[in-house]
Amino acid sequence: MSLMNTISADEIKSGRQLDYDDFERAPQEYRDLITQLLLVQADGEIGVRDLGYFELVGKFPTPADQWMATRIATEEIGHFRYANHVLNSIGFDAEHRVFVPREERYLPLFRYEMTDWVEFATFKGVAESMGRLLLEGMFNCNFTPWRETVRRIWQEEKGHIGFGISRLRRLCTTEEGREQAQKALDTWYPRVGMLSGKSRFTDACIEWGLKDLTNDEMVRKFAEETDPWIEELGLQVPSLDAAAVKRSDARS
Amino acid sequence: MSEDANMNPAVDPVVAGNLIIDDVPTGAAASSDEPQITGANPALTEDDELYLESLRWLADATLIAQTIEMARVVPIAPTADDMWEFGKLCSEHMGLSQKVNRAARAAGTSFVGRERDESRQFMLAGNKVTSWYEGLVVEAVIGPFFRLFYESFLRGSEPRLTALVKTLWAESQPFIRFGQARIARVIESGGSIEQFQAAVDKWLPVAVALADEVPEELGARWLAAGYWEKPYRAVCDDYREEMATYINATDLEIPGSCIDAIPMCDVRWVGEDIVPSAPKARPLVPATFAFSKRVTGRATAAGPTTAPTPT
Repeated sequence: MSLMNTISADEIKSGRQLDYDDFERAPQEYRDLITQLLLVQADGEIGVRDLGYFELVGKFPTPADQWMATRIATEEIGHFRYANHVLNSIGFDAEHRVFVPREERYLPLFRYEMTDWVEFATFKGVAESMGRLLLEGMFNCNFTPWRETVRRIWQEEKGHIGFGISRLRRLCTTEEGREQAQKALDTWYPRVGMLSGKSRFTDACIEWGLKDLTNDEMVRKFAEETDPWIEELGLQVPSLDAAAVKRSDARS
Repeated sequence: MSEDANMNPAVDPVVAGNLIIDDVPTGAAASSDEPQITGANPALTEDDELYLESLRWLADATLIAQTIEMARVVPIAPTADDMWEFGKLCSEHMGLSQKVNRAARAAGTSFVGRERDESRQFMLAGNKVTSWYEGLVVEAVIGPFFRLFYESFLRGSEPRLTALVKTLWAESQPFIRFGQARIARVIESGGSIEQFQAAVDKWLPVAVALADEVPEELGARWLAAGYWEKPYRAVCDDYREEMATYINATDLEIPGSCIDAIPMCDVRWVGEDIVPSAPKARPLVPATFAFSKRVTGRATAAGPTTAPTPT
């Protein structure tokens, strides 16, 4: 490769936008970062196959819910395909992550299993809100193929979140339903907190123009946006204390 | 307004409206709140009752994804692409039942909750799919039965029913094509035929047993009212014929328990006995426009009339 054709770190860090054709000419660190970023995204998306989504869709109370839950679960697999398509286009593949055991997923949120449809709805309403912020943190990503893909995933995730919230809202119209929702919320909301904390990977992504939100900023925004509607449903907002989740996991 | 202002799904009606296409005003106790067809309603005419009864049968037919728990095998499909395809297929099946539910609501009733009613029709003897391979076989083998069942109402006298069935019929076609095409692709690419054969052995007898599904008395009423133009027996005969043709055209075999219902037929390529298929021992020559020259007596500008000289 000619040195004339390479793209410098300075160019990238000062705002240059890159396309597929530019990938090979970018510095190794940048290429590694994108590859890892896409791999983590793909891994999280395909993680739904093992979260219990497809086992639970038939448990939703109406055929309309079952239909939408199936569609949502399938769209998550579609998101894996989107991310893997970008990976494939730069010479990598994430297919080897498809059948990875749940406990080996990169993001801790995907190492758990849902046990009923209320958890499914809660996961969609709450945990996916965090997923949406993760995507929004890449809205200005300087690798344009991924930025465009992120927009597409984000659009679908918004629908998934809306589904989760509307099902929780419906559930919370009865005392019994509210208790079920609170139980699921107590389980899943604190797990979102596990995404907080310092990450050298995220810092590097921000430095190279792939992301523009730190983990802590995302978790803070998550609480700001999510807590009001949780309270509006008459539910108690649980703690985002990740350490408590880890202690609980260790006990169990 | 910045784009971010619309991002909170809790306050963004677009978000709520994005997927909630056919929501019903129900909750956890949905099914008990909805009017159900539980018996004769004195306010309904005989025609109304027959129409609702027909809708109920169609609703049950469209609940197949729930009946056999298709979605459960999505995560065990061989690849992510297969999972995605099959997941889409499951949701599209469920989408069909939404269309019947919509027709039911227009007729003043609801079938919400039928998916939990074990006494509904087309329960397929309680069988569930246990693998992606079975899922494909169900599409390929059971799918045609339902398509023929929908088809039986297609030219009926009840316009609401024919309009609905036209949609169900058209939308169920791709399910069958998907199943049959995927099976062919897997087998062609050297995949194990044993898994498919085991699935055919399980599901084809289930489909054949559907010949007893529609009671004679109801079939007679459908015929008398003009909803149907042929008896149920003919629907089942069409199905068995279609299966004989399909299975015989694959490397799969009809299970022993179905041989009487679906006899093996001797499939031959047309003209095989007249023109032996042994390779011709003569050299190939380049094709020409010799035909045009013979007809018009002259060479045309469109192409060569004699074989080009090899260079």
